[in-house]
Amino acid sequence: MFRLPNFFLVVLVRPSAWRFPLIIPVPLFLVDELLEIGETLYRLLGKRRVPLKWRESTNKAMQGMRRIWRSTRRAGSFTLVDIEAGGVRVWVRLV
Amino acid sequence: MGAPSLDSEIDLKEGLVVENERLQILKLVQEGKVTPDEATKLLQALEGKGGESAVATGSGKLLRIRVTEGRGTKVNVNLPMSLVEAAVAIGVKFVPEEELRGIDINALLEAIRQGVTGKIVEVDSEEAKVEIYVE
Repeated sequence: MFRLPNFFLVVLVRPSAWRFPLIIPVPLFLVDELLEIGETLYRLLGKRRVPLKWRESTNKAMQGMRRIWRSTRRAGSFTLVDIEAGGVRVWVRLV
Repeated sequence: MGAPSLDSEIDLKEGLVVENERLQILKLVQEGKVTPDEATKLLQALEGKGGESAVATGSGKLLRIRVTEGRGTKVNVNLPMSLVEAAVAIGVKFVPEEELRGIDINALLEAIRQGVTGKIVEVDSEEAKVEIYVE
């Protein structure tokens, strides 16, 4: 089934005294691009500098990060975290 | 010409796995171990698998972690099972075998994928209550 990927990570912060929450949207496609840039830089510059014994685990970690990121974006809209402490409520939503 | 991204490498590997499975099914038909009708059903199931990503299995379910403290502190963390599966698949590669102490992570994930839901962990102490469940 085709599902639209998530486009934003939205952080909402609301102290109990506030009427409306503070909304901080983080565009996920920008994070996507940053990951892509990081990978490219690693391939172009960093790969040869990483010792051979670390290279395989670095590759695995990068592949893993990409995989986790992909499944996060494809998981559909959901509330990742909802914290209520000391009169402040914080939500992190993926939309 | 740039190097292929890891994303495209993963897609390529997933495509190859599906292609191999398709060939295996056709081979079983050739050997007479599977009837053409059964093979059709298997191929249809495989197409469904290929259409979605392998990491998207178990999607729709959430692993919920709920922590409640006496002073009114509440923490809810919801993780889609597809994300948990991807994270576990990677985490297992970095955890030494002896650290797992015989825990079959794949069997656990498979059970959740098959439809096991409800509370899987509950820790109730004087200070806090921790619940982990699959919904």
